[in-house]
Amino acid sequence: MSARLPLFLCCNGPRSHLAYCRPLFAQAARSGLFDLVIGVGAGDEELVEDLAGPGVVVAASRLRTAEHGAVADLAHLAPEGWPRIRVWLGGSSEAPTCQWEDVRDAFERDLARLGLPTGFLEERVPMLDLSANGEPPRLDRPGIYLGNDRDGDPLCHFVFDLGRLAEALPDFDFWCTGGVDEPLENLRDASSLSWRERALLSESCEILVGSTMEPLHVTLTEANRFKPRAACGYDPRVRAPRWDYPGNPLELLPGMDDLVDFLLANARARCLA
Amino acid sequence: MNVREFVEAIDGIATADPARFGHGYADTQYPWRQDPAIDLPRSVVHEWMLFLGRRGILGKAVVRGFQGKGGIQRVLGLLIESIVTLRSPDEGVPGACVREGRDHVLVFDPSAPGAADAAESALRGANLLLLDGSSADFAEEFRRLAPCAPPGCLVAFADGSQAGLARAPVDRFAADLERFALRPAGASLHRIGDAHGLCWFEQSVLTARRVGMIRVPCRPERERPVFAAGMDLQRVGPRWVAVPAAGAAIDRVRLRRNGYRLVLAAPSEASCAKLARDFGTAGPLLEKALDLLAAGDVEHASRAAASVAREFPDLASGLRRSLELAPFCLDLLLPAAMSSLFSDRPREGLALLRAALEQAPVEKRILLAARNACERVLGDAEATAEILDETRNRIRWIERARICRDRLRGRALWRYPRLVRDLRSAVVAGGSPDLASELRLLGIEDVFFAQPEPEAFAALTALLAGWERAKAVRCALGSAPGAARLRIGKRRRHASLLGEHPLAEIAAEDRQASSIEVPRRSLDDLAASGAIDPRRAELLWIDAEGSELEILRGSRSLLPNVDVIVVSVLTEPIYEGAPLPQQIQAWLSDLERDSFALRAFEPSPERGRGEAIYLRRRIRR
Repeated sequence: MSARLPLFLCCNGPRSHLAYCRPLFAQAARSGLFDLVIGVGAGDEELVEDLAGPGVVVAASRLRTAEHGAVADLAHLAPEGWPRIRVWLGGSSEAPTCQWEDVRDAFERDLARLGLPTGFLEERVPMLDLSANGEPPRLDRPGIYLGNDRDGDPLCHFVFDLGRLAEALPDFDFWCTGGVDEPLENLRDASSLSWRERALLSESCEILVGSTMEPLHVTLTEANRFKPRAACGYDPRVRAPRWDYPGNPLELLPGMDDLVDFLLANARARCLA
Repeated sequence: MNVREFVEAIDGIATADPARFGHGYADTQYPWRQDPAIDLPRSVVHEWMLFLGRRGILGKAVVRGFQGKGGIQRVLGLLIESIVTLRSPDEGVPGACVREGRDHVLVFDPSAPGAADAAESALRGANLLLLDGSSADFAEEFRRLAPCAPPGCLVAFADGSQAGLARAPVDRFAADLERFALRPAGASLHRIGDAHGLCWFEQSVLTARRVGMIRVPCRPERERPVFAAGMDLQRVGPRWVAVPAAGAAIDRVRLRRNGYRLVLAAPSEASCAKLARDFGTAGPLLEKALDLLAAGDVEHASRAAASVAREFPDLASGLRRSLELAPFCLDLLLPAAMSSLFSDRPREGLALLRAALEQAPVEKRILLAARNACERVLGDAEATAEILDETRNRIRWIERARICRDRLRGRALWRYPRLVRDLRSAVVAGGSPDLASELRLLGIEDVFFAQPEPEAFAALTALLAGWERAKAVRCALGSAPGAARLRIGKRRRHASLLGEHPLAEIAAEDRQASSIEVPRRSLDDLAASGAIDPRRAELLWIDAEGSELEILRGSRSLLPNVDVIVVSVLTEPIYEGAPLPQQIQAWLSDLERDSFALRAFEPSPERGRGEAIYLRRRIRR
């Protein structure tokens, strides 16, 4: 009979929030303290299926996650009588902060309320590691990951000028996760890739750029921890990066001119390195 | 009118008559019921109107679009002398926005012959042209109207494309407009707001020649719906979608805003038509099952649901698929709940019922059905208690929001009802006695007041008569106990421990004329002596005429339990040694475990003063 304690975890937020929960789920599983069931929306299994194993089961709902989050509370997937934690990504406002320190704080509070052991979460900010156990693809030419799809972040407004980017860096291929509207040779369509595939692709790229901070966050892997990264369309004077960590290279760029400068500077630096 | 009064006037228009004109702004809506009075974010409207105000009163504005409810026109009417509304031939007259003798409503069809002359005539002498970028005809409207705006006129359009609120890629259009039309003419496109914002430029002779040349990159799809089983079917993106028949194309923005009573989605036209037919028959049966469950007749409810599952085996999965597109559609949630509840996943059914309750907490039928589902289908008493708790909370939140909107005015915190919805206790330092009545109105029953000024204390004591869980002490507050001199003016309104600043501009009746000795305590000291229960200080309200930072310094033992702090701040020199707002903010954000972030700041009607609202950063343990 297992000495581990039963625990059900889920996140009722949008798909992007489930990705932020990965390190929490992984560390809870690695602690050896719990028999875990992780509840997810239909189709979101790919974000956590690599965590399944001895003592960890992924249970998928029949309802797909909507844009705002779970259609119905995923706690309905919890086995009968199991303690349940609906993971909150930190902070006390309506919107979570999505900072690891706050996530840990909120989770430990929930564990303490249920009388479960705490103190096993690491202090060092972990990466989401959606690429775990995968092999990054080999690219023919140096690549720039361009997350030109966006989620509904109301705080971001940006329009990519793909033609200008392609012209400014002709020696790089731009892998565009939101599709390509101009038939230029170095603009490559990556819109059909899953999030896990995008995470792997990002590890093969030299520079990581996105519009909204999610789904750019799929590039938060250990291999990419200190790789040049930029999120476009934010005012850096009033917005802070999500999932911040010491040495985070993420720059918030308000306009196309700033983006081109960023790419040229980092492309030159990568060439010289 | 000062800034605060102006902003209040705008908010007043946005909330004046919800039944007729909608309520609030584009970003203050419930996801399941979106009916804004002003279809722009609140911050954008405020910033835009303040910008127009700084340019001086504008003589004439021409407005097109914005849902036709007149909210935009009423707001513009605060500044603009004459507003011309251009309405479509099939659109109604915007509600009650026409001021007699000053405003006009004209019919304008951009594609009709003579549209160019009509545009020119409407825009003659205009200072502002404002277009709704979410309009399906935005491209045509801009092409017709923008070139006719006279030099010096501001041309503005709303852009919600990155918030999913446009029917064409207006953001791309705006980028092209600036690059190809405005910059070559020496002009710039400015933007107020983020994903949902307002773009504007100032027309010149050069820009007038160029702006009509820019095209919206791709025209919105104008598919014609197919009719089947009483529904309109149309391809929307990768799916086929069915909505109750109206003979009009399905509007993506309306879909996004939960604007259709029923939405069914399927991967193909054939499967969508089948789903619509099946639902036409099975829907009323599932509705009946819900009524039976609400009445406690679980057996017959179960039989009704089972017969639907037998006859229409694909219906349940079709309903679940539709929920991805329309997660707040009540006419979808309830039948889907019934399908699941009496299948092999009853907890999924209960979860769907709870999702329905979230948007309709006072609908008795759903509440009874959910309760009976817990008790009689699942046998789960804990879930029953949870549901009843959740429902009580939601009803309390709705009531508090209504009280804030209808009965409370004047303080910044009442404009943010979400921040007060869970508060049950408060500690108040200083301030006017009226605050006591306001807190009580909101059901914040556990309150401690510290008031040093004798007349204010007497008034407060009278208000607290019979209020069991409220307590008041007559003392000043600071960072440590001691004695202090309270300086008072003739009007006794602004009693302070600090002397007046030499540069202070103060009305004669408020000038400090006398002083009295008062005991000074700290909140920590009062907590240690048992006068305050530190666990009952969810709201900390400090209005102490310059002593705010000292009081905060002496309140460390309370802060772990505080969720919201309201601090009166001085934005001009009034008292010698009073802290700057930045100092208070820095102190609150530098606290380690219990730091607070600035959530809102609003200027007071009185010059040089304001109220800052801080929210705890990290979740309370």
